[in-house]
Amino acid sequence: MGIRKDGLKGSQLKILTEAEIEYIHKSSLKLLENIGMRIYDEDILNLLKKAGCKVNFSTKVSKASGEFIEGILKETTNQVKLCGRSFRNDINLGDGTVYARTPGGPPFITDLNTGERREGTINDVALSCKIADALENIHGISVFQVVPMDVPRMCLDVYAAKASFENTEKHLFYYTQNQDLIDYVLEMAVIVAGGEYELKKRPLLSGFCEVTSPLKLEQSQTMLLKCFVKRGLPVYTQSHPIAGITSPVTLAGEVALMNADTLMVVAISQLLNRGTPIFYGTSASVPDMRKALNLAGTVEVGLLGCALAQMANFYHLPSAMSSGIDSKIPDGQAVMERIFTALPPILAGLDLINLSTTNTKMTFSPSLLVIDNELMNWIGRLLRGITVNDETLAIDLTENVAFRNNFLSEMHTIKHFREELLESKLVSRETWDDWKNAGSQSYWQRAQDCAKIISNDHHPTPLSEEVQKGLATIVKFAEDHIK
Amino acid sequence: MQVLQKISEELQKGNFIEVPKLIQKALDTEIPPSKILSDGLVAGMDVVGERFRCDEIFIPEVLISAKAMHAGMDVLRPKLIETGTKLVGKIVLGAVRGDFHDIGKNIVGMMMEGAGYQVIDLGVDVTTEKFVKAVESNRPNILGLSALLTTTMPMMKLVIEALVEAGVRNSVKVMVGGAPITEKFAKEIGADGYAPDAASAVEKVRHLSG
Repeated sequence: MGIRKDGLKGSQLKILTEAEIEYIHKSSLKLLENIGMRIYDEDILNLLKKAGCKVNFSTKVSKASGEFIEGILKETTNQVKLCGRSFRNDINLGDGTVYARTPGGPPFITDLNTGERREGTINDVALSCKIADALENIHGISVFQVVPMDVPRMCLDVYAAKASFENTEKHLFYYTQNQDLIDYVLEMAVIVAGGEYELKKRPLLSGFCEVTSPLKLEQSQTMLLKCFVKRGLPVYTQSHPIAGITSPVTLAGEVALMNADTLMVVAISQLLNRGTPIFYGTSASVPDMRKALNLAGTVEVGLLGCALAQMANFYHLPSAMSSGIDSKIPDGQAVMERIFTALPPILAGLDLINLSTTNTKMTFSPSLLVIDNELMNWIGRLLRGITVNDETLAIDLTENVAFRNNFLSEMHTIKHFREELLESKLVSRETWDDWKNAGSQSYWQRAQDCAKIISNDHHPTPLSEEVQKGLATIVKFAEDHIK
Repeated sequence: MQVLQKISEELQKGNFIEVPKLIQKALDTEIPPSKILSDGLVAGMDVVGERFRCDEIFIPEVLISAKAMHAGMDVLRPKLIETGTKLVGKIVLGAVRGDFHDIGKNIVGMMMEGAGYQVIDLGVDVTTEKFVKAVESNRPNILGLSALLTTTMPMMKLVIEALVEAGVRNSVKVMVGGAPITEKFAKEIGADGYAPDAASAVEKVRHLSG
């Protein structure tokens, strides 16, 4: 179960009207009908042709009619189950609660001891998984939460997957660095799950298929899609348009393109295997026009996330989106960027938030993860809202106490205060003097201390020796055969 | 020279239709090609560059001016070569083997054209051999390599080694770029330069070209 949002009482933040959602939907269909998608995969092009789409094999472009897309969308499921090694870590995307995960990609890490930025190592993969495993509001972890730069470059996938399986009991999200290793990683998942059937029943791994906006699907991505779909495993798809660079600069145009990118892959996934569990993600972003560099933490990213949540809801697909940070360190800017890119989409109905890291997805920060966990606590409290009933109105109590006393030692207060008031160990609430005497720590420093404690004290249930040996064998095989 | 002033103004507006027409007009009135270049095109790009440095205009505006520059140079370049004018330079660009990301590279190419360079873009997933052949046949001042994936970064070193083996390493300056690339990495693999974004890449190239 993720973070409940009963407190919203059914209302959601809406930045698109029903008519606008419909208009965007029709516009995306127009794109797919008029220009289609360029797909570097003969199998998939053949599949689309067989299904009645107009395919040009020399340009590798497949168009898709509105009827085709709308018809095939009916095959999708509105909940996607993602499992962890232990049941309590299971994610039911689309169950009406909000989940959070770490995404993959950063080749750098902020060192936990020195606070300096350095290249990520395989030990960092293990460490970061351990920390994420301990944090109650981080429900899933990317295999490449940190990209290990100290292992053979062509074998990244197997090294990172092994270290991840060993150091967390939570669900793992996988995208490929080397497409030749997809099946190796899947074999590892089979070993950890205890068999092919067990893995399909309880998918410990979900696969990532990214469209290169605008409307281009690379072979490495289709390979992963096919490998996962073949085994009945869940997949997530997203595209990463950047406003004014790989999409129109106007956000509506970006949303329409993102939507077209995604709908095509959703359709392909159902053609490959009807009923494939798939969810709708995005990394849609905007650039800094002074340098034409991608940004992850702007208010527009938050808006795009809101649009995504509403569009995915329109299609009854679970949604996911990347909240980002451009600040180089977990400071005030980082928190501001996190809030603006995470909270609005969650209020708009997002199912899964990807908490991407500092330095525009380049640097993993263990302290930030601790802060993110705390932020999700705050968001969780916000989403619980204000419960209104006779007990909480407590009119009798007020009548009794009003002119006599205060409420502090009343049974009602004792009964309710722990649930009503969120306790926050991480933020500073003490008096100035107490704060000074305790060392004048910043929020970041306290988070760093917390991360250090977790890294020392938390121990995920280890894999059996047999499983560990199995994983090591696969890594060795990859090293010997993949150049 | 009214027409040269007009070339500069239309270039600043990014008028890629008008600029080549004006260049032809200037050539027809027998203004020396080198003067059309310096007082028309370069003068215009200098203003663009200055306004960009002051944050008055941003990359999109620079790029449409670069487009106009490119269109103008298409007309002017043959005349410049004819009259023996020294051109700003040639740059070969490509994303390394296994890397299909090209947005950054494309923007760098457009900015370089804006700076007057002739750009030969080899595209994506470019083999080491293709890079070496392109350097041998085009004799560029600069070879620009781009990579976005941590798995393709090592290809950059292989390209540099291949240039050494082919005996052409000293004939060209190698620049590298892409999101995971750093100054440190560039130095480690023996590249001559690195830049974090397209605009500073142009500055670096100017500096390396001497």
